Amino acid sequence: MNVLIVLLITLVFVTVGYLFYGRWIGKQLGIDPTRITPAHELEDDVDYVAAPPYVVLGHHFSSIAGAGPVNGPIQAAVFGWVPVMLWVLIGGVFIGAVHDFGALFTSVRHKGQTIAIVVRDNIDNTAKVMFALFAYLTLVLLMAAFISIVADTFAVTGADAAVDDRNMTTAAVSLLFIGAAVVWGFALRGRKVPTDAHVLLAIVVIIICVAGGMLFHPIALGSFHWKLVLAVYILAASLAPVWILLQPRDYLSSYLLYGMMILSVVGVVGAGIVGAASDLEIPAFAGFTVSNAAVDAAGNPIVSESGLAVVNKAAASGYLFPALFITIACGAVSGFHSLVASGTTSKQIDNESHIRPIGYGGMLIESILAILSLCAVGFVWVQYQAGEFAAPTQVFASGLSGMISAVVGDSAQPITFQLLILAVSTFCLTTLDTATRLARYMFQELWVPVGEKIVSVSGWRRIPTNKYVATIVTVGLGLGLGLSDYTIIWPLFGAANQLLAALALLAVSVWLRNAGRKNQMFYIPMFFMLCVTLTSLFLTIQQKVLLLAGDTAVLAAQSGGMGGVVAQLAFASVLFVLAIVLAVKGVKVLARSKAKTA
Amino acid sequence: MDAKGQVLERLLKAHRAYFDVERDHAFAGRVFPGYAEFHTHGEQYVLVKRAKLWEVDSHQYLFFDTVERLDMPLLDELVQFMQAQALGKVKPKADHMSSDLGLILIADAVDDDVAAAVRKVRFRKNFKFGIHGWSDLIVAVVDLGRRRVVTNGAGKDMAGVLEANAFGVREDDALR
Repeated sequence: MNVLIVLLITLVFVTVGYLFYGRWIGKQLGIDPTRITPAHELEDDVDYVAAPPYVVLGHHFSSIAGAGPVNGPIQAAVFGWVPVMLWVLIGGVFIGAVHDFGALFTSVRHKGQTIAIVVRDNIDNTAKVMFALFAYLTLVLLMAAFISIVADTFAVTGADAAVDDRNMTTAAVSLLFIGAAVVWGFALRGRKVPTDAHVLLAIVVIIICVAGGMLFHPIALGSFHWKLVLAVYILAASLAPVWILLQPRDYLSSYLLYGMMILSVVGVVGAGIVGAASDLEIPAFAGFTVSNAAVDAAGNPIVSESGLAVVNKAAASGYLFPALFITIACGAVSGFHSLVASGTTSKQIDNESHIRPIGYGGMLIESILAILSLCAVGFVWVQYQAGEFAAPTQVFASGLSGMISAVVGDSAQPITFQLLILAVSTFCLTTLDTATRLARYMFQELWVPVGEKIVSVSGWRRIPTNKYVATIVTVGLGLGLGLSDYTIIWPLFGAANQLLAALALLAVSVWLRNAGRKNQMFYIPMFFMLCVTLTSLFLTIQQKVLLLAGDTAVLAAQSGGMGGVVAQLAFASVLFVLAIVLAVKGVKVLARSKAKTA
Repeated sequence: MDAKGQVLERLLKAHRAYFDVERDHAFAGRVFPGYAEFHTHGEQYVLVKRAKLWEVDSHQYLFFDTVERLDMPLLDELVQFMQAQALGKVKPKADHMSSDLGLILIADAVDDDVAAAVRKVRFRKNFKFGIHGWSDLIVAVVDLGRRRVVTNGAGKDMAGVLEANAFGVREDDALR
């Protein structure tokens, strides 16, 4: 199918969903444009500040979008474009957008409080603590997945000289970009540079980084060593003052974001018009069980020179249920969104009528981005199937740069590829930095007695609440898990993230029931997500237990070795138990309040 | 009250809206007829205010002085004072991002060579290689004789505000 038709169907579906289902959900929730919002009621010009809807949408979208809508659909494309498109569109309109809308609305009606407080108020304090622990583990898994993805994008494997050269170039461009950001911060701080000159200079710096990296890329490290380097990087980046790296890097990367958006639109629309992407080469449906074994154009398995089957590292594997629904998170439904919606977005809502475009609409924009990622895989399907890509970020950059070169000429491909992959890698690094800072805080809080603050603890508690200790432990955990392949970590991260969504839906349902409102529209998404995620965790636990009980040679050959398998088993088990306890608590409250209402 | 005093009054009044203003401020053996401090705190957090991702502190310390005639030796002496003594106002620590030290001189007359020297003043102190932030020196001269304001590079942003308040011109006109 032509990518333009895919895009058209997507746009029509999400628009109809927004106009009809979104409006219906709004009516059921009881959106009241005359009601005063926390941004006005609690206005303090610091946290609670009303802002125009397009400003809040910009903030909300930039917070919820990361590399997630890129990674998930590309890994899941192995199931075929129909299941991916159906899940992104149906999941986005009927689950993800409802989840974001509900979480944002609930937070607004709780004076802009977080979803964790909503859990405490409507379930109990133990549930709130478990929810926080759950969020910490999710962040550690996210760090592990992104460390692994970025390392694979930079790594040299020795299998293919051209691929190694491309990865070394990517690494050099990214390192130059980080170095340039630090120099930018030092050179321009406190200087009065006119805006026009600032913009021009930023573009020139990015061009120099890309050109420099393409011409000079001497660093050849394997995935393991890159993971260590990345761990040191996030350790330094999350501890350094923001003006050293974070602020100048984020400023420069904003130009990469604009560039990526322009290149994506030019690539997909242009290739669709000139006929270069007249057909998505992905099969419509590949089956209910898929493997990530690399295959050639004829579908025959590819075997390496050493006689081992080549693995497609950018693809998911397993049963369609639950793997498809776990792999595609951000593009269809993501629990992380509830944290953002109830954290900062809800405090800026000027009028309740803005909640639908921001909460429901923001999620649908992510769904569109997920479909763009699917189009990118379609353009490089043969190479993707053959396992030529080490990470989904490479697939995204290759697909889109291929489309662009089909429009403007082949010479543009290497440059646009490096620009796009730099953009996605930078987003991954930014997410890593923020996740580390947040996870560090959560780790510190675990050791603080009720009623005290981090700065006031005494005795042995000063050790785990120390900023440096908390950061080292958190990065160590992320690195430890990240040493396993990200294809193993991603399902765990996806399951944790989707469980967070199920729990947020549960919290919203309980509150609506307590408030005497209709909440049935949340039941199906909530139970579906609970089933999907608990099944996925159960399968992971079962697989790891069988591995530990089986042949030691097979165990030693696993990514991350025995330690990795034990760590994954421990994480999956803790998440499983936490989810069961929280779900049981929530359902009990739901049943109790139902009985009361009756 | 003479012209210098009137301009000083207007400048201190204008700064009072956002700054902590003090008169006859004694510091490191000198007394300045006017002094103003401004402190800002910025932070980013997630979910709750306690969950800080980062925080930064920035400060401005402005020393106002009036002189009848500003010549090179006096300018050098005051700039030296700012670089050596006034720098003591800055308390670098973790989360300290920047502190601007400002010397604002209101003079009835200014020697010809002073304006060029003021424009050339450049002072930046990095604390622990910038990890504990940095400090810049701002020098601004309000020349009543020529009805103009001269600043160094770091003080460019202040020129319009000073001119508007010293000579009663609109800030956007002054910046033209």
